[in-house]
Amino acid sequence: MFKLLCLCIFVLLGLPMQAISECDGSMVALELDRTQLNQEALRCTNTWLSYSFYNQGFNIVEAENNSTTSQLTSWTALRGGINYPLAYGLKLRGYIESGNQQGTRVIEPKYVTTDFLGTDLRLQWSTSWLKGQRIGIEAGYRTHKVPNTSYDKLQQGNILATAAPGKSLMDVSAKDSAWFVSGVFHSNITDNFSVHGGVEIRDIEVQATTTSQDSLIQSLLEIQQVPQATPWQEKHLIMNLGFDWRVFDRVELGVDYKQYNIQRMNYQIRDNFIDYNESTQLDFYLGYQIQASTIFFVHARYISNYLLGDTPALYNRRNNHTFKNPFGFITVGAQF
Amino acid sequence: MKNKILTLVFAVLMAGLSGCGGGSNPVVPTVTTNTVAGSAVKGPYQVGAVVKVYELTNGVRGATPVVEGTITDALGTYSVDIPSTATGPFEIVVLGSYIDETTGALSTTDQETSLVIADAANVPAKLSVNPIASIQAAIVKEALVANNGADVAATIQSSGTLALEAMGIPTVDVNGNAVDPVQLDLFDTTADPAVVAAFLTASAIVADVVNNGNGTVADFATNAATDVAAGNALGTAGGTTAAITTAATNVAAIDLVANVAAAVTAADPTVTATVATTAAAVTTATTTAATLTTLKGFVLSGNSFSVGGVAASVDAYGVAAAITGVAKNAVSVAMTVKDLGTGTAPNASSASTSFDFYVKDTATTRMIKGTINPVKLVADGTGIVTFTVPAAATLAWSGVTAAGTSIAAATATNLAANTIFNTDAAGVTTIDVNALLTLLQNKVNNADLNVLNIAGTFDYALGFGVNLGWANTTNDGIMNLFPTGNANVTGRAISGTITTQ
Repeated sequence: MFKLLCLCIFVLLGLPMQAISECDGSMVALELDRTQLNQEALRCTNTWLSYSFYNQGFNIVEAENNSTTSQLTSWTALRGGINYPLAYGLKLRGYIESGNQQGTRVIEPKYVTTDFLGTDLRLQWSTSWLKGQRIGIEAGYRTHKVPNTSYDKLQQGNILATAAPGKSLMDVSAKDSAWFVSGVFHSNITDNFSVHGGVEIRDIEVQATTTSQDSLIQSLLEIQQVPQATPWQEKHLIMNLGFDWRVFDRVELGVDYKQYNIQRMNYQIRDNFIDYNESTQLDFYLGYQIQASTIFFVHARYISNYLLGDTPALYNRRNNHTFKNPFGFITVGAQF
Repeated sequence: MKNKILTLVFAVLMAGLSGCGGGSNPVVPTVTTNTVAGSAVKGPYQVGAVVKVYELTNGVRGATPVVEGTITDALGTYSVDIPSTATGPFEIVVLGSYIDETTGALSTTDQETSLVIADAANVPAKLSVNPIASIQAAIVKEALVANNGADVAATIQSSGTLALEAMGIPTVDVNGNAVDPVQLDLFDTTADPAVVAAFLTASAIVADVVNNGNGTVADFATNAATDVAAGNALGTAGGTTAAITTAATNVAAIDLVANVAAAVTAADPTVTATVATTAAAVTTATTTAATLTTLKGFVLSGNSFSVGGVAASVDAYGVAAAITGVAKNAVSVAMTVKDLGTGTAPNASSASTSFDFYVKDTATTRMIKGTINPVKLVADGTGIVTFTVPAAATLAWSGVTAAGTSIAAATATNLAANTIFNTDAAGVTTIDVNALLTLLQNKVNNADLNVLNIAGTFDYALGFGVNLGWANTTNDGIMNLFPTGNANVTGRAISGTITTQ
């Protein structure tokens, strides 16, 4: 998967040479998958690659939640994207990601590894509004997929089941897809400081699948209230607000705030467990521009409720309680 | 100014991250050792005796101990800390000199006794290392050598009952509680005096046998285990039948209580040794001990039983003739267990034991086995034996489903409402195996482990944690006890094949 991602990035790098050359003489902004409508971002093609990671060492104050029996031990994601102007004010934006999360549980399965793949493709149109200000709309499609993972042990109460050699007890997978539309604005307050924001509405369908060939395991899974077999729908309302500040000639600081509000339809709740429908996300970006069109950056993200809203395929009624916890990770990357 | 702002921004950023983490990090205390403590009594071991703890691998003692300790006082007190990195089962071995109950003096040779525990993390506060526990340990080790997949905890329990019976010690105390060899304590004044007396007598008999040149205490335990496993009378394996009989006679003439109490006080004047029994109780115990080399227990009356009304004979090894033509929902075992006391005469007695079962579909992977513990057994003195499952009984079970999924040992409680066992006025005990498996089905909320719900051919085994054996031709004597060592059940086993329709 990593090789495929790298190949895609290099292909993408090859596409916009003309556009990049147009931007060589100017100072581009740190665009990534953020909403940027400033002048440089409108006419410059850029590609970017980032690697995000979390491990338990980040949990430096031993964040406690005694109600959960599972712990996330590591989380990584590799993302590559492109922002490609089709015409002035019309831009094609997208990224793909490949990630992995590993966790431990007190009972079997004690070690849980989940891979996930994601895509986000959107078309952006924008126009100037007042001096130094632009408004625009975006629309597109995004997906996530959690490939099938097999488990050979399961504990329910005092029953510990182990699959026959060469067989698995259960197979788990998930996917989500969403159409979305958003309205965005951008305002240059000064030459070095701008603010931006917007509202995005996503119409999502999520399906989590847990299957077993063993009727006993099916029975145990039913007791555990595994994710429903039928898909459910979610509507996400995401409000965001942020700013970019060129602190020095080559140093840029960006801060984004996002608020997720979620509604679920055709979703079967889990008895005695609450679902989480709101999440706050804070992003801090620090970029260093080594050339006019090349920015190295570090990025830190704080999410009040794990990956709630960001990766719907990871959420289901079986693991919803883990989304009570905050989450954060560090990203390093480059934009070209 | 900009630098200060940057510093502030990153301080905020890191402060935000400090509370992050997708899950909890509960603070788990690190356990580095597990303490095992108690007393070592072959009479009481004395200061200087050593305590060594070995890991058992497939019933074989490891080459080097995982921890060593010593006896710390005249009562045989010990305490060792077993590293949590060591894995059970463990054998705790004590070697040294001890107060000889038969002489009231320090033993002239160092002798070894031991006990076996399944793990070190979950043990009672006190564990007694003694000759009865040694026999139990030897039975367990032999069982694990023969079948390294055996349930260690269940094997320890059933072996304890058989060791007690072999040495003529009650398996149930005056309060109806099961007696455990590793809880036998000469100085526990809360214990049943009759049990303590029987323990003291048995220990003294072992001493007398050893003192008369018939091997070591460890040899006695090993030979006794062999006899128990084979279903033979005590002394058969070691050729010590006569020595044991003589020892029983010798011990009956000795004031064991006084010997022990005086010797302990002599060893340490600061200790007041109160032996928790009476001379009268010892007299009763020595009378019982006189029959140690006689097979004691119960027989399967007529050496036959029936399943679903289809009769089958049982051979001397507990193997039943194949049974066919039984309705799949009528798998109820009917058997008469006859009490023969010490050979031919019934005694009024009671026992707390366990019952094991095993059913395996020969054509599929489906298997279920388990242990009901305790099962109460009462002999009324006329030969009739009644089995009951008390309210606090637990069903420990494991199995394999049709898909090949293995279920490790799980437990179910609240068996009081179930009537798995029933004994009628004539002494015919029925074991409703269908009801037993239905009980499990309901506990698990799944029918896949109710292996009898589909007709077929099944291997089965029933295991009893009491002395159950093969009757003589006139059905009034024990020819031999059914051997232990069945791969699927603990205790003395009856096994065979049944075909349902």
